[in-house]
Amino acid sequence: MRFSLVVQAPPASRQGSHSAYRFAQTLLTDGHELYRVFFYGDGIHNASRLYCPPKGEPNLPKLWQTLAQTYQLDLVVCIAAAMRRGLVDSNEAKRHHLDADNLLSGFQVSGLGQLIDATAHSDRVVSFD
Amino acid sequence: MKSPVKILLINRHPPYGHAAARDSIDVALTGATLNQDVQLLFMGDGVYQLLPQHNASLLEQKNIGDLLSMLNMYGITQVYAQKKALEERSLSGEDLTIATQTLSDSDIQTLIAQQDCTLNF
Repeated sequence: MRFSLVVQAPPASRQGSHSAYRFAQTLLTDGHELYRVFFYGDGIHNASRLYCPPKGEPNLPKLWQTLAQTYQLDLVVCIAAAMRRGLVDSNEAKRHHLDADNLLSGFQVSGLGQLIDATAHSDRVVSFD
Repeated sequence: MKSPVKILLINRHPPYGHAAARDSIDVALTGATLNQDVQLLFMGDGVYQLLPQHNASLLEQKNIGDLLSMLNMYGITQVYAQKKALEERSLSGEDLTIATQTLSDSDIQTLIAQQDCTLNF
């Protein structure tokens, strides 16, 4: 079965972000396909390169990055949701004359069209809030 | 792309104080622009989004009421509200701004079962 996930929970604050990761990991090891993971709202914080959890707590951005490398996943971050929350890729940093960028590699910024595309191409869309 | 995809957006947050209402409208507009079959369901505190005369300028926020009333221009005409949520808040279908069908909880189950996809806000 082909899945897409929508993640609106940020790491650290709510369980949803970790549940999304564990669900993704399980569906992949069970042999299902993961078409896209779309990070929206506060979920965009899962794509931060500067995330520093204390020892013993999961580093969700790095976990997603590794999973994406292993399975060639499409991790998409909504650009509007990201910008208004201070998550910026290098192109947007230049465009807005910001002195830093912080998007973790392995994630791409794009628009809500990618979310709608995922709904059209997946057997199941599962949300984590 | 299988088209049109039946996408139900379930809204449970009030119009202000949380980004959910605005985030949901952005998804609705994108889905409608891409010719998908977007429907809206308002449950719990989400029904407050449907009340008239929002004064969002006091909060320096976009007026959710105005945005919702624009949606039918994009072809989003199927808007539903949870009957129980309205009753709990002493509201009726007549208090609401956009043309809304009120649904019982079992009608809501049927509505959800008919969708290709549901998203939560």
